[in-house]
Amino acid sequence: MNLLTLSNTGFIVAIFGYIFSFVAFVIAITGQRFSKGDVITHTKRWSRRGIALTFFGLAAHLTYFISRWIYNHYPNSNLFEFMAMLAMLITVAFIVLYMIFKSPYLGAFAMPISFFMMAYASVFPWETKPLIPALQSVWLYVHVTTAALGEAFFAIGFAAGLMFLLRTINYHSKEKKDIKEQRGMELVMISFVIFLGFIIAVFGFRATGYEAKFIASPVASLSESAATEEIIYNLPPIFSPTGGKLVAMDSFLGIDKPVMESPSFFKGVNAARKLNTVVWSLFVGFVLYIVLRLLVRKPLGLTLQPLVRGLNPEDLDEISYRSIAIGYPIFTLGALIFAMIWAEIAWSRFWGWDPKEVWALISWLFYSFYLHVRLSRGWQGSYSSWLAVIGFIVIMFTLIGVNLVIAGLHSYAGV
Amino acid sequence: MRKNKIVQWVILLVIFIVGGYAIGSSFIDKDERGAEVGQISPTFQLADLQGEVISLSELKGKPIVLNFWGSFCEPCVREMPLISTMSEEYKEQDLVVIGVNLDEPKVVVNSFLRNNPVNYPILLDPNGKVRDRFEVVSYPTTFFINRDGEIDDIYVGELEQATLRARIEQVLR
Amino acid sequence: MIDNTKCECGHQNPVDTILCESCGKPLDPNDTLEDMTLPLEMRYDGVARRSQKANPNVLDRIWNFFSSVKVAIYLILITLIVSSLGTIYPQQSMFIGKMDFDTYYKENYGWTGSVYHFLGLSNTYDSWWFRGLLVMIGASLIICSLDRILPLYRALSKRAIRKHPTFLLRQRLRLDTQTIQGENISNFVPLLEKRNYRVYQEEGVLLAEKNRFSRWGPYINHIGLIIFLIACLLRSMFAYSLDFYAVQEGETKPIADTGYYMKNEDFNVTLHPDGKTVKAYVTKSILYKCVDNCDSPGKLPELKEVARHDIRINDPLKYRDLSLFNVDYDVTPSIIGANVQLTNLVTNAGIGKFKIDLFKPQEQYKVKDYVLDVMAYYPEVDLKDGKFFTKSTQPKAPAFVFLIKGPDMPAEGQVYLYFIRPIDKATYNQDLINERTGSKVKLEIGNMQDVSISEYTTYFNVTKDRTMPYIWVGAAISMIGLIMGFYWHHRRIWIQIEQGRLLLGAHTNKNWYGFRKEIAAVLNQSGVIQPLDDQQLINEVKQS
Repeated sequence: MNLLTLSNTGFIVAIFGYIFSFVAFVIAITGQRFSKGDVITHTKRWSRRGIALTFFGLAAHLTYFISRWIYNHYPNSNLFEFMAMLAMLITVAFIVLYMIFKSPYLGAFAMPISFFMMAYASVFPWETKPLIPALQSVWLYVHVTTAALGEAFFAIGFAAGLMFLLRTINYHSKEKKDIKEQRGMELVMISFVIFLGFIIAVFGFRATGYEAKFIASPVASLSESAATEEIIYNLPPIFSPTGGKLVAMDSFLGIDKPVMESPSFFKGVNAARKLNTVVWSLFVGFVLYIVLRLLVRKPLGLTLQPLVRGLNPEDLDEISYRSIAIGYPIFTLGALIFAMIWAEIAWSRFWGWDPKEVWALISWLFYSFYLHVRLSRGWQGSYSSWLAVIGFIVIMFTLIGVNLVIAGLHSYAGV
Repeated sequence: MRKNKIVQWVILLVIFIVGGYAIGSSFIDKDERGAEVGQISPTFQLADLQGEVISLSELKGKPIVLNFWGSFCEPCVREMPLISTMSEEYKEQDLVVIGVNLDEPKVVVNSFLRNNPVNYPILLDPNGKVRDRFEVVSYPTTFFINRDGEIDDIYVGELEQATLRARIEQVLR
Repeated sequence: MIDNTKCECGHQNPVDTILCESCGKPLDPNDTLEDMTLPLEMRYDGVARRSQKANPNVLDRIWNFFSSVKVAIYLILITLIVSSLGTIYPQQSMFIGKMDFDTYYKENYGWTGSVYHFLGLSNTYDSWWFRGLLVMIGASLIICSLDRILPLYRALSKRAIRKHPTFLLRQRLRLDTQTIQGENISNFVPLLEKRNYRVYQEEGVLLAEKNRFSRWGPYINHIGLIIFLIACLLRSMFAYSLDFYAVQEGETKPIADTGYYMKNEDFNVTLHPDGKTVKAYVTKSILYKCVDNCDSPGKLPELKEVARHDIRINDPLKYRDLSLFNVDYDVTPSIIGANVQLTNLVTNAGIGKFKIDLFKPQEQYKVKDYVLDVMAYYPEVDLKDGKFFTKSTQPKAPAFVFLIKGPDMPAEGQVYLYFIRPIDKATYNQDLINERTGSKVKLEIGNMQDVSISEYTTYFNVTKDRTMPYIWVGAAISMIGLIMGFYWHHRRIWIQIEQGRLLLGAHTNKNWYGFRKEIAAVLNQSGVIQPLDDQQLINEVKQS
């Protein structure tokens, strides 16, 4: 078997490993009702199965990782590879926290982050590419891997924070504070569904082989390649490129023309296509959300609440805090110090206020804020759980949003 | 307690001075070598084709027209006869005109001047050091320096008689 | 009103002490009965902070401001928000050279761009207010730390083993129970020591403590950050940097204001097997130091080689505090040198060769008995209105007009037109023109080895800087502090047994869960009390 095939197979197997481990953890925490035997033995048995499946998934994931490494180079130089690695490290971080707290509940919330991250990764081109000279440095591996490990712990902190909130939000109260929290939680759920919408939209249209072709307008391009460029959409164009000419377009639901041209202030590489993708994700996400709401007839947060009933909120707060406390020094080392060392070697300055650098600093400041705020009375629990949730959103923006919206020196890193 | 107070004052004072410097330095143009209108002109010492050194600081007190040019730059070449005439016209009024060549080999400048003679000194600027000090990025660029050594005006592009005359009159004042 | 700060145990505490420094009894006279069941505020073990004083004056007020964690939190939050604003549009510092930014932001981003520029956000990170924020964070780091290190030190070194019972029972982890085995408190000692605790004993009471050093972690981290910030400031004061310094292959060029010169000896690009992606590029470089005639106009500087290195991306040339980084390259083909053959046309015999450096051609060349005066030189020749001129200073299409004197030649010399590139030779009819003047000699180049061609220009960033080590030291100290503070946890357990009643209080700064399990294990293994579940240790009263 070819190394690349082995690697790709490992990736798919890992996704399923994680999904099965998630199912096992869910059975561990909810299945007592169906099991006739002793509740504690039931939970223990299924937790053991869950963690075994996690290890199995991780083994497959490592197979993907190592064989791709041997085949080409250390796999963290494009968005697919980076997200796949982040998912792997989130699993590692989960295992570490599981070893400390032995909570199957954590598995039920952390494993989805892992496999959705992988599903997200697989949206982006899988092909292996040779490294450009700027990336040929050990510091690429060291900096990115360490930073991602720190972020993985933040992801677990996010999962535990979310559990704390689901556990403690009072859905029966009409008080201002509680209403705010209910809305906040629903917003988190909606963002998650939109994220799902993105994956569904991309995979759905990919399965049908949809394509629309444009020729870019030669003006307004700052890049040196002024030659006419083809822009290919794999989602039906709601927004066509500014000044772009339609070459060919598969009809979708009878629509065979782009709905409108994207506003001219969207600049940068493939800005119009990105805008189009965002709009599609929003659209599919909202449809999905409405369908879900019609099905369960109550807020999604409330639907999930029974899952975490019976958990000690203080322990959840502790797990969230511990995970972030473990991740913080690693993140500092990887995302700031190692990044500075590399920047000093490659670019002659250890810090240059490049947008990606600034956002790494913002993430770091945010978690510094979190850690200091926790020193104050009354900020533990609910408040700090919200911060853990927001912190992870900041991290995701740093990883994906910056490349999507802001261009900079790190722009070769993806999307 | 008294000792503590003193320590506290000292620490605050140090923070104040260091911090004040850090904040204040953001106001200082990082390129203090820069040549901008209203600033005192940077100085230089350059040799002409015969190897004779001309120093800008020795010309202090005289109004100066400093023209950056190259034989490869058409507008530069076009405006040179005009500058030459003006230089002659204002000689009596103390005006000094200097041409600084933009890092061309000596033989290039020599052969060019043989065919296109001018009556003001042409200086060679090896490696463009002076060009960089005056932050000249497009050619031709002409600096008008007044008697106090201050840059009175910077003109980028080909000079026409009226513009040149007006600016010379301005620095003569 | 002057508070009585003397505790019932006899210890005289400073004003604003929350818990007696010695026995730990809560000192706030306003504590109600209800408060008495709340867990204690254990920060700095209740020792009075330096800044907390009655009747503050100006100094105290400034000091108090910066010593407040709340202020530090706000500073972090403001810096975070302001930093993010700076990433909306490109910063001015991303552009090289002078630009008219007013028009740039307006044309590229419309009125929002204008507003952005007007507000100074286009220069966020170099602005006085951003610097001001960083300075305030620095001040907060220094004063917060100073203000807490001493009380913490005092709190941790005053290790009174016997504490007031309230102190024990108001800990977050506590136990009040009957023993089954009498008064033998020493049962705990081996169990605790096995878990790396240091145990201090007195009659019927013990204190077990471990990893106290981890309490210093945050302060060491803050010291590292202060060193880092100061080093950054020093770097901005003293470091020299030059961006996009271009050196063509074969060229030797001074590095402005440093007294160094560098030569780009050779530049090479290698491609990946796909034939498109660049795999690596290397500049063979030599660094020279100018030792004489460095600033004398009209004279050639005297250079001494000091270093040599193959510069790649991620692998700069370093010499003392000077570093040269490859950042980019361009294809700029030009001829930089030629070895020209002079031939007698009559006898067809070679006379000799001479070398022309096309960056710095001589005024005169001599070959045997022949003298060639350079009348004109056009590095990139072109013709306009019947006149030759040069389009640039780059020797891309070099052309010469020589005045040749020698045997069999007219005394006043003969003009000879010479183009180095065969294509120019043909375009401008070199041979025809020279034939018309009746030239008796000819200039030519034997083969391609007689021409040196420069294909590329490499761009370097140059820095000259001694402050980097301090930046790394600051970062390293900060990292050590973080590791100390986050991966070890200070744990203390107080146990008192009196007349068959066991009182236990325990405190840690992090990881209560693990600590709880540990204490439960110790208690259960000791056999002194009935086995219990670790949940029983949690102080029932929830924190507000």
